[in-house]
Amino acid sequence: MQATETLIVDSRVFNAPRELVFQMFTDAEHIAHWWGPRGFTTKTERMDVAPGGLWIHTMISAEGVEYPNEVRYVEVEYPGRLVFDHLSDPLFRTTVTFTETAPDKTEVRYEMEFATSELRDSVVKTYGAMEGLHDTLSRFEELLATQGSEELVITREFDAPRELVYKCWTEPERLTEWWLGPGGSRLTIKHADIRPGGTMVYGMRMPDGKMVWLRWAFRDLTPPSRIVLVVSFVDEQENPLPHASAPALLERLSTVTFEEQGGKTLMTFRSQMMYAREEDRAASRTFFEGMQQGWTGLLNSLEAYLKTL
Amino acid sequence: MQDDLSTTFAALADPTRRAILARLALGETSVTDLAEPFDMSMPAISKHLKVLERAGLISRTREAQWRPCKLEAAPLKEVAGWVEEYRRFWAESFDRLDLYLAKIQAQSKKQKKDQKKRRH
Repeated sequence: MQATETLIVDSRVFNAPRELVFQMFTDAEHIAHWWGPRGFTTKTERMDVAPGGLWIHTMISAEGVEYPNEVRYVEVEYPGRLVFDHLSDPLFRTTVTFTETAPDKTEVRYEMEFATSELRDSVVKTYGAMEGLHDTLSRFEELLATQGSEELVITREFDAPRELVYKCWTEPERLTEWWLGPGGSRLTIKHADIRPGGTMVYGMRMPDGKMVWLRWAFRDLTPPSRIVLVVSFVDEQENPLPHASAPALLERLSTVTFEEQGGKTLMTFRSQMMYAREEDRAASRTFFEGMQQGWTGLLNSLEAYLKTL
Repeated sequence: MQDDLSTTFAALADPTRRAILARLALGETSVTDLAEPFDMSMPAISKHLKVLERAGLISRTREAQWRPCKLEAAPLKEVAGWVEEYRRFWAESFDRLDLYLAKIQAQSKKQKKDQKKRRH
């Protein structure tokens, strides 16, 4: 590391128009869901996005530790540039630039500048700022990709310590004991590289005899509390299937969390479509409504009708 | 199968259209009678009916002058089946995880017990 290094920089391209990306950086409602490292939530007391305006907020870790923050906006240039100073310790200036690299593609460059390289290094060390920023941008992408999509949420309590439940998801020889294809067929694991950034590809034999291949791309693995992965359908050579019109075949962001509750484990599984078109979203909403409660009334009256056929 | 389901789900996404289907479950109905309970213009109702018709959820008789609408059960049955399959897939997966956890915990308990016995 160079002595003159006073910056922490990360950049990412998002599949969204620049205006929307900018808006999500400046809207407290949105920020609550993606600001900060994984597990954090952000409570905004005041947000005045204008030069000289303040953003007063508290970041709350998964363990419930609160980190009060005060930020003053220096430049606000919709939809291209945002500069703000972190006023509470540690002091630094953030410059975010939003560049349209193609229609509906926006590159965000996020730069934090510290007064001295010592301060920068200590923030990197003490707060894990590099990983934190990486996490933040990942969460942002996930929120952007799943906006407006219905979320499937399943919770389940297991009479086992969460370390063990976590292992059942992340060790292939354990996973294949319970994660089976439809009709109870065993999975064919092609390869499994279970670490953040790694992927696992497996095949499921469908009742009609066809093999369906799926890829799990791991975004986060925090034992024993959290797994974040993107599930997509691929062909046997692991090429992504062409954009499927069927909502069931779209990429899905899935998050599994494990909470300890008096020796038992509360598991929450969440899954949402990514980059869905409006009609996919509508279809999936209906789907999950149907699955969880929603149109049982309709189905009941239909059932009576179906019996008369 | 997938594309058809997608169309069916999209057609079912709207509460008015679901209400129309529920009404039709009681029997064939004219468009005028169908429109009655809704605070909606006839063109708006017609639009909904077109979506339902395209998705194969209803059919309209050409002969009769009042062109009654009729519920078509097959796609709905398919949708209900697909939803049920999906729900069952998750429920069964986690049931299996539950059983697997119980099994491996019982095994490790037994191992510990056996080790203890051997030591005594």
